[in-house]
Amino acid sequence: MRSALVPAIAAALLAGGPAAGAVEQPDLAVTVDRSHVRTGLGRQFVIRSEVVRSSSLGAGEDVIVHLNVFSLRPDAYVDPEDWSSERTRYIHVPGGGAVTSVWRLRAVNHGLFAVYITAVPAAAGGAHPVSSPVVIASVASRRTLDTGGVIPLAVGVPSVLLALTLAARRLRRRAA
Amino acid sequence: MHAAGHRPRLRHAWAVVAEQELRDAWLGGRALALIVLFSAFLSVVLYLLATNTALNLLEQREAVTLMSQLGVAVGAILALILAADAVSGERERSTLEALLVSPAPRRAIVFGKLLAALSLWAAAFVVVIPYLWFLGHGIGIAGEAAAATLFVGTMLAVALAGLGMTVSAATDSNRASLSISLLALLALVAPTQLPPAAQSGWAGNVLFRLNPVTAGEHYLGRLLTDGHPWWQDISWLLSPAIAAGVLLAVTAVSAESLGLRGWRH
Repeated sequence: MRSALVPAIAAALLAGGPAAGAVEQPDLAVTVDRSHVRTGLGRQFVIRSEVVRSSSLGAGEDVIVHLNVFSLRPDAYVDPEDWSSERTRYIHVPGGGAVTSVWRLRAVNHGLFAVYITAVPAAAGGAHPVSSPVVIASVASRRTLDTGGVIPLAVGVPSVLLALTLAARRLRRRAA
Repeated sequence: MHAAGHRPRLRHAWAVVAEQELRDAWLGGRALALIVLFSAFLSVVLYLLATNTALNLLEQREAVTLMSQLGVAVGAILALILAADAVSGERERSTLEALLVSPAPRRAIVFGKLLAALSLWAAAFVVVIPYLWFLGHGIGIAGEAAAATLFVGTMLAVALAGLGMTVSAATDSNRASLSISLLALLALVAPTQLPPAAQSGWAGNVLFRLNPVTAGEHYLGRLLTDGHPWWQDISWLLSPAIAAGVLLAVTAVSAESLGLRGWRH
């Protein structure tokens, strides 16, 4: 009996108290309003995240929320700053309440990407981050303008004006 | 020489001066050369919009806005360049005296020259139309973009041409006149280079609203990119309208003291 009790107590203590290297999980959760986005290159899209504080104790908590983007394929380079100019926000989450953040992103690469939002209690000094589920962004390649159609206009207008300038110059010389 | 009391009425005199100035600017080739450069610049931008990977992914509305904003800004600068040369150039070429002893009132001389400078903006607007049409006709905003470009651009062109004319009337050399005018213009355009955080704060907002160039460009962005109705952000056009009115009035006042030498003398 005693030999069985000692390991059981030890296991209970280990499970109950913080082990070396382990962190206390905050009472925050982050959710997103969608799991998938289909869009085209250069287009904007919006993701809404909600930071929920389960504990109703205290006046609330200052939380830092941060948006991140990465490619699910190794061939695409992603600079998250290009996707969103405002990636870090400082919010206050009331006890037992939730705060919604609206993230406007622009798909600047084509391919398959993951977008997620991480929340960190400000008091924890960057420790104990909690992340949302990822939003998979499928970005289709596209071109907004036809390169072929642009050349006649890009060359034509200055050419016509240049011809007018030369004609005016010739007229001026004749008059002189 | 006519006595001051027998000078022709202002409306006739300015038309004569304007006609002569228009002839000099356009048949002389200077205005046409600037317009050729302007169209080449717009062509390069259009080509980059169509072929450059980074620019090609702009929403088409944003491409129209960019073209409209560039057309307004550069077109107004062209008017400023011509205006900045108007009086100081005559002084430098020693041709102002002949103009001052003519029967034309001084205000008529200055307004005739101002009109000639503004003709460069009118030409720039005509040149920008095919570019706006190319970018905007597929999404149905080419007409709106052209109307907004004309409206905002005319206010800014009047303001900048008035600034150039006032500086030109006050300086003895073309170099000084152009330097001061372009420096003032640089100060007006500089806020657009501020980081986004500085632009979005209340101080940035006030600065952008007070500055006629940034306010006009902002209005074009709201109208063409965001698709706002024309009246929704009309308050942003207050500073371009005030700047145009005030600088026209300053031009009229400074015209009265127009002399052979600049204000330094």
